[in-house]
Amino acid sequence: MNKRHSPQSLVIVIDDDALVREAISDLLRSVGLQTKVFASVPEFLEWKLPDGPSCLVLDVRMPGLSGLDLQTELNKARVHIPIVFVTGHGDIPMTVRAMKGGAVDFLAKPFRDQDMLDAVQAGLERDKLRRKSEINTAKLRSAFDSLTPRESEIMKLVTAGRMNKQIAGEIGVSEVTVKFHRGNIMRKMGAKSVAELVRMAEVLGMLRTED
Amino acid sequence: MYRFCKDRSLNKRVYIAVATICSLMMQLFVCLPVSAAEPKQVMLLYSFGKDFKPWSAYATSIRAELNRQSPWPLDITEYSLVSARSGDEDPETPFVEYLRATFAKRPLDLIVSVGAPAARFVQRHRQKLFATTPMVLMAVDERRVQYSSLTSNDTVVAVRINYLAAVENILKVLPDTKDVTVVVGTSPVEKFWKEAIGKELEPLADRIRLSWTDHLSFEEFLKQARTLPPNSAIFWELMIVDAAGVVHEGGTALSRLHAVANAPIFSYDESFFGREIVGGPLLLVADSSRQTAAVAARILNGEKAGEIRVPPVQFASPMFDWREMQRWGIGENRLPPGSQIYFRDPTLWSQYRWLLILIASVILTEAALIIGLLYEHRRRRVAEVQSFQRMSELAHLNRLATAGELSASIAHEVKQPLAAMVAQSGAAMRWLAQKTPNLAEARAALGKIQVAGDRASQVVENLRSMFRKESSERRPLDVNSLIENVLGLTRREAQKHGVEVQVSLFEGPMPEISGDQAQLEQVFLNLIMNAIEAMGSSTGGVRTLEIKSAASDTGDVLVTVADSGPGVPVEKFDKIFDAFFTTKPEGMGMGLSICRSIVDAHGGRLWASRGEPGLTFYVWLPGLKR
Repeated sequence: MNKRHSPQSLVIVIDDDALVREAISDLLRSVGLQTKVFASVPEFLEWKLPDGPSCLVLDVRMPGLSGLDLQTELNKARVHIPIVFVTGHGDIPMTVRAMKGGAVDFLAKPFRDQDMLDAVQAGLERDKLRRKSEINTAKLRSAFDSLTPRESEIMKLVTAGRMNKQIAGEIGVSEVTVKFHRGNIMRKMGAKSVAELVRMAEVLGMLRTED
Repeated sequence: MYRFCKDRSLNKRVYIAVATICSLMMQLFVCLPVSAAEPKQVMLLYSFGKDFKPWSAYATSIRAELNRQSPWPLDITEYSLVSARSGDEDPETPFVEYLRATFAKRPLDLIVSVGAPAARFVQRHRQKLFATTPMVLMAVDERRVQYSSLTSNDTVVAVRINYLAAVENILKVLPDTKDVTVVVGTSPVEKFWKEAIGKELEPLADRIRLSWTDHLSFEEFLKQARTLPPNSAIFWELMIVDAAGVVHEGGTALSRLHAVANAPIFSYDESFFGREIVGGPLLLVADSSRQTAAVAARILNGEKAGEIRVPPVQFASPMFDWREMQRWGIGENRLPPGSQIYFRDPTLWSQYRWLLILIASVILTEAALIIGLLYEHRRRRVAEVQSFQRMSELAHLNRLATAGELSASIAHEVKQPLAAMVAQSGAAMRWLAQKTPNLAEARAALGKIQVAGDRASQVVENLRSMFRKESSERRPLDVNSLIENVLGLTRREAQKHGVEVQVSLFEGPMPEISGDQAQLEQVFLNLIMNAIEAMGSSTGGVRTLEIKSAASDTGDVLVTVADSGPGVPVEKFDKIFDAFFTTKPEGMGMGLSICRSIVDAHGGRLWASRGEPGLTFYVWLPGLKR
């Protein structure tokens, strides 16, 4: 079981009720997850989030800043940590708001232990994926940054679906020069096909600028 | 006058005539005062002395009657015959001489003798002393009169003592009487009467036993009189000289006997009536005196004494002493017809009629007032109990309503420990399911399940006590723990409405108060919920709920609940404790009214003040010591 989780995986439990936050923490620890508990949102905010896949287990209502408030704040700060909400008495509007805000799950107390484990598991998986995609994007960004301005310009036109002849005509160079730049672009970006280059451009957000 | 001057001869005749008339008139004027100024000389002679009963009464009465009936002024001289107490006639001699000397130059117009001894005396010495003076013998029984020696100048106003009738009267009013003791001494007159009475009472010999006192000294008799056999009666005849030779005055002796005797005393003469004797047919002193005075007047008027014959004075209608009747249990129905009752104790009613009516009416009025007040009091108690019951019912409804409002919080409070238990049990199972079961972690988890279970049951218990219907017995309570119970339940509500709750409870030992836990918790619950809702509905501003508790030296407790909500306008502030007053659209307006009723029922006070902003409520509860 332990092998399923990388040691860096961390679950952060925030609940003002000591009994509940300890119980959740203990449950998670029993399946080999690392946990960190907080009694309130401000306490958590003062703490520096370590690098690594993590997941938040949050009580919806707490004195001061509530779980939903934290979710909003994190979304504003583009901190995309998966959140599993727990609540004593949740209503539908609250659930909808939480899920729209990107919550992994919304568990009503008393929750089944397996539901909690599954939800946390799903959250951690999602975080891992997110982290992986964030790394890929960063690589693409640096590859894209290594392109010359001309190459960058040509890549935008290529991913926009323009033919070599069209591109040569638009920027006023020969078709051979376009082919040469295209070769460099494919090499620098590590793309094996135009389709792959288009997907990269999409990740880099280049396509939207064309619209 | 003019004519007198003119005609001297005429004047002279007139002068003689006038002088004649004048002299005649002078004679007339001189004569009248002479006849009026000459009082009739009357001697009263008593048998034993003026102060001896029964003759003392005659002395007073006869003097008064003589003066009343006589047309002439009377010069009354009184003498007493001391010698009558003994049979010895020798002491009479100097007295006779004295009388002769006294009246030698001053002839008497009338002699009145009172009693038999006096009658005897005057008859015996008549020739020597007052041969021609008319005499009236009074207060003497006809049996004691020597009619043979009466002269033509004598007359008798006798009495007739009917001893038979007197003793029959005893038997009539006290039919059980068996013994009659006749009080009689040893002087000659007393000896005479002993014999006479004995003879007269012979017809009653089979009904009563007669006994006499002449063989005893009066002191000895007084001793006997204390312990006379039952159904005894005493008949008072005379006690002048007892067997020991001691002279007694009738009235004093009778009083002494009355003071000790255990039997009723009867007699024959009115002069004994008035305290000691029961009564019956009696000789009236007035009867004798009136008769005697009438006879005396006729004699003084010139009638021959020997020609005046008057019948003896008999017993008058019976008269009885009411006090003695009471003492001896003689009912009015036993008295002979025509009896007069004297000395009837005036009843309280007749004496103090108006006072009694006043007192009775005051008492009745007061009683009515008291009854009225008691009735009012009872009615009020019943009304109070009813209103208390209604208040309790309303309070319970209000609790249920609050419970409804709080259902989310209640659910949360219950679910928290349940969630912990489920999670911990899951953890425990997983610790145990590992290849090498982690027993320490599993044990720790089980311990936490126990803690959570305890908390769950505590929550349920609190809820039950807070929302139960029946009001519990008053018991000592810690107000701080009540506040904490309520805060536990309302914490979520505060969070939901973004209200910050600041609690500062009295530090140190909180004095206990006596109360109903559910009701007092309800008070705090209502106040806190009101505050939270008031702030929740306001826009902006700091939402702070401040709860404080304090205790006084006397053990009283003051709880303050202050909010920073919008408060209540001044014009509505006075009404906040009124029933059906509410600022909440869905409110019933009973909460604060019920709170005040509860606090009042606990002997405390609930009041409010307007803060800046919001409202502050104060709950004051008296300590146990009060």
